[in-house]
Parts: sequence; structure tokens; C-alpha cells
Amino acid sequence: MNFPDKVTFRVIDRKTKKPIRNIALLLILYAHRKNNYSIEAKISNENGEVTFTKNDCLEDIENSRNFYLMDYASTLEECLPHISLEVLSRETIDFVLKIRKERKNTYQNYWDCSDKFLHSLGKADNADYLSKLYDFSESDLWRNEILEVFVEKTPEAKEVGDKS
Amino acid sequence: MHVADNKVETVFAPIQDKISNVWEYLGGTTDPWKHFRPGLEQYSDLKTVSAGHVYYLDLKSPAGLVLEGAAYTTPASLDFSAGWNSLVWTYPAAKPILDALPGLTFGVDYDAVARFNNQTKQWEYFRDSGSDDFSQFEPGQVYFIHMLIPKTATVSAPAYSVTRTKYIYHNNQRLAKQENGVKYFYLSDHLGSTAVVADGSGAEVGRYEYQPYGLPLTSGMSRERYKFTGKELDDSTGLYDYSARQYDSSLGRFISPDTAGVDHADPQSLNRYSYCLNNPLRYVDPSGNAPMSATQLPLGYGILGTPIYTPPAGLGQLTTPIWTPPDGAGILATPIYAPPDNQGILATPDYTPADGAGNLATPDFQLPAGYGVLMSKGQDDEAQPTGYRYVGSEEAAEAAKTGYVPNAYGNRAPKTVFYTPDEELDFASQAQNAYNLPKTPTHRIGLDTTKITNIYGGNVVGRKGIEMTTKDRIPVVNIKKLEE
Repeated sequence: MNFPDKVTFRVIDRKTKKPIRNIALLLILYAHRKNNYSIEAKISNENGEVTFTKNDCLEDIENSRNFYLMDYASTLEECLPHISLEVLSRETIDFVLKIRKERKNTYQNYWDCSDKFLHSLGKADNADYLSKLYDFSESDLWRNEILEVFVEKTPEAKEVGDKS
Repeated sequence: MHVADNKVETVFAPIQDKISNVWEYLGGTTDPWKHFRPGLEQYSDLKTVSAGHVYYLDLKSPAGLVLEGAAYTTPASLDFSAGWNSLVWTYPAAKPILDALPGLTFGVDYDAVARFNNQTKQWEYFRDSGSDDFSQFEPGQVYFIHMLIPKTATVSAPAYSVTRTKYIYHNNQRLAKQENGVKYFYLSDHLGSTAVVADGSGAEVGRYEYQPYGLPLTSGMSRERYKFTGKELDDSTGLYDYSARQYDSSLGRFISPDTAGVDHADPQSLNRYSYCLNNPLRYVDPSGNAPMSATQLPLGYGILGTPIYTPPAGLGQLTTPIWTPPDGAGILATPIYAPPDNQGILATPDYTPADGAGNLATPDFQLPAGYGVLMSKGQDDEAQPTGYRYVGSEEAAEAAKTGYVPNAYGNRAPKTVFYTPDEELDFASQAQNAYNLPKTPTHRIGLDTTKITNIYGGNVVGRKGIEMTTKDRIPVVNIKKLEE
């Protein structure tokens, strides 16, 4: 696919229509052959925004291909012309944290195993929101505007008196 | 709702013209819903209705629902715990929420009611605020009541709470289940069949035995979904779901032929409907098209199933510091004893402990008094790889440390692991060219693919090919450094 230099997503609460900070999001590129690529998770900022760049994609693709030689085959250009943005589940975040802590020596040259990143990932508020994939076409990415993602809270996340 | 185990189309037949779908929520992030559609049973993946499960109904109209007969029972009172509790309103008339639950005071005992709108896929709330999404209980709808304190409420109309069953797994092994917060533990025989179900104190609550091909020998087995070799029995058809094929335990045969082909050197495989080469005591077939040995134990050894219990005084407790049990599962404790005749020793395969953890006790050194010995399968020097993977130095190091090909990854998990079953290349440049690798591999990992239960992929002819893929963990047999 033809990926722009950067693309920004804004996470918005479906009920309140307000942007949500501190949500971990993953970008998925669909490979033409073998495994898809999962571009390193980013945390939404005060404005509910995350930005993925083309360099993020190229770097993650290279790391994946160089670490697991037999499991990845497609270049960025060969990927299908659509992507998904995933609101990570708490279980997935906990799994990634566990793997990167236990296998830091193995993965630190390829993916971020720093205490800072793992701390911010661990503090993400994804447990309050339903894990879901949001699909975008290649043309969506080139619209030169912030792409909005509407997420919804789980019922357990509602607090007494929460009017949101 | 409390219903007897039954076919979904039978249970909901009285109201079939009022509903468009019946849903069951299984949880998880991948395809969490199963559903049944009246009139389109062949496309439905919800087959039976089980006691204690939650079901959601898509109503064609706001008409009331009444299930006649002995299909359900109604308790006289409901026990609510603090926090969110689920409740199904099945009375055929709507009723204002504030009038529907005598004994509960809004704002004192509970402060919110929620429901999930299957049409809009959004949550809706009642908080008695004047701008609520709804204000009454509607027939056939599931509601969640947020309790401020735990309380028992008397119910004046047929509305009652439901239970939820959650299964707990570790390393693809089903260890336990949780029903309304009560934990039960599974103990399996060497075939992986549900043999004993125990409660949290170790007391036996169910014991199940099978004929060799899987027919039950004991009664009461309908309580469990997963039975012979750990597979799910479809009560409506009487068939076991073995993924690639369905199995009839009354016949001892699969109902469709094996697509993987036959081995002319093994006459037992010539009948492509046969189950486990007609040797169901020794083999299992997790995928439905590849029988495999149920155990790697030496002749004369069996698997000892034990409940989770505290050993009597004077006996040791066998624990390992390596394994952290999943939530709800306990530590397996065994006494130090010589098994009676015809019983086996608890055996485990070799494995490499995680960083910082110690090794399991083996007979090679003296144990402290009161500690038992966990026998382990010795490394088989004769093992030959059945597949190969060409890797870099980091993956080779990871495989050497853990004994498995890593299919849990630094960025996220899991992914499909590719390997080749036939080619064997000794030179790094050969491997790079043969498989179009992005860079020169440094090592070749030999794999034991006989333990893989899910194999699919291209260029496959009779299960042999250039590349095949699996999501299972693959044990490593050997690691060889490639020549430059």
C-alpha cells in the first residue's frame, strides 16, 4: 500500500463525544503473504490523538522480518490497501508487558523494552474500553485530516454518578 | 434462565415466531458471539442451551415471551452481589424498574441499571435522572443492575438472575471452570478426557468414565460440555467436535474420511474413517486428521490424576517454583509414596525453566526430607526433527533457552510460525535463497512437528510441502549453526 508520511487518529468516547487520553492503540498492516504486521503501540495524548508515521511502519516491518526470518514476506508497498487500528485489550497489553520484561535481552534491539515505554503501556486505560478493530482504507489515510475513532466503555467501567 | 440441556431450536420453539436470533456471549476479543437463527439452523453455531448460561434474544417486536412447560424454573429470591449483576426479565409484560424489585430501594441498594442494545451495539442506562435511556424492564431483555451493597431481593414476577461459566486455560490445557464465582478443577486421564471434576477444597463433585471409543460409562455426564479426550459433545447430534471432522463415539468412527491421505505402510490407516488407528487407548487425534501418541511415557507408566489437596502430616508436598498457576487454579500436591500396583508415576516432559527459576527435582540428587520426586521424561537422544526453520541468532538463542519456537512476540502475540518439513540445507546462503529470506540465517532449528495439531498452508500435498504454518507451540529437537 501507499502509506502517507504520517497519519493521525483521534480517539473519541462514543457517548460523550469527548477525546480520550491514555488509550493504547496498535496499527495493523495486512501483508500480501505470510503474517500481518503490528506496528508498535502508541498511547493517545491529551487531545486523544496518536500519530503513526511511514517510518514507524518501515522500521517495524524491518524489525519483524529480521527477527523472524521465515515468518514475514511483504514489504510496505506489497501490503494490502487498508489498515486497522486496534484498541488493545488489557489482556494483550499484559501479555506484551510480560514478554518484554521476561525476554528483554532478546527483544530490546528490535522493540521498545524501556522502563518508560512499558510503564506508560501498563498505565493505559484500555481496561475501561471495549477492544475492537477499526478499519480504514488507503484513501482514508490520504484525506489529510485527523481520522476519528469512536470507542465505547464497558459497563464495568461506569462509576456511580458518572453522567458520561 | 435455568433450562434443561436441550437443543436450542426445541427450547425456543414456543416463541420462534417472536425472535430473530438467539445469542450466547463467550467473551474474548476474537469472534466472541455464537448465535442461532430460527429457520437457518444450518448456518448457526449455537446448537444447545445449557443450564446456567446467559442467552440474549433479538425480539421481532416488543411482545411478551413465555416459555411453557418445565423448561425453566423461577427462584423466589435473588442474591445480588456488590457491583454489576445480570438479570433476565422474562415476564410477558413490561414493568417500571422502580416497581419491579420489591425489597430493593433505588439510591440505597442500587443506583443504575444497564442493558446492551443489540441493534445499535451500544449500552443504555437507567439512573432515574429524567433523561434515562429506558425506565422499565422489557420482556426477553437482559439487564445489569449495579448494586451498592450485596443484598437478597424477593421477586414478585418471573424475573431471575443468571450464571456464567468461564473456562480457565493454561498452555492450551483446560484446567478449571468458574460458575458464578465458584471454581471447579478438571482432572484428566492420559487421553485428556474429563475424568474427575473437583471443587476448591479438593472434594470430588463428578467422576466420569468412558468406554474405549468414548461412550460414557457413568451417568450425569451431561453437566460437562467437554468430555472424551477433552472434546465438546454436541448433544443435538451426539457427535464430538474434532475440528477437522465430527466423531461418533457410538460407532467408534469419524463420520467423514480423513483428508490427509493414508500411509500404505500402516494398514490401520487404510480405513480413512477409523478413529486413532483403531487404538483409542494409546492415541488421540486433537485436530481430527492426525492421530498421535497420547503420552510419551515409557511402557508401564501411567498418568496419575490427583485432586488439589493438602497432604496428611508426615507426607511431602510437591511444588515447583517455576509455574505460576492461572487465576483460580491451585498447586498440585502429591504425597511421597510408592504407587499401588497398576498405578503410574506422575511424569512430565523435560523443559527448560524460565529465567530465575529453578529446576524440578530429579532422582539425580538428594532432596530435603518431606519433598517428593517428580519424574520427568528423559531427553530422547534418538529424536529426529520432522521440520526445519532457518533463523537468526536471536531466535536461535530464544529457542535454546525455552525449548520452543517462539510464537509469542516482542510486538504482540500470537502469530503464525512457518517451517519447512522436507528441505534440509546446511549452508546459510542456500537457505536464504531457497526461502527468499530477508537476510542470511545463522542457524537451523530442527522441530518436532508430530505434536502440532493445527497445520494448514500452501504447496501442501499429502501433508508434505515446502512451507506449512501452525499456531501451535513447536518443541525444538536440535539447533545447528549453519556453515557460511
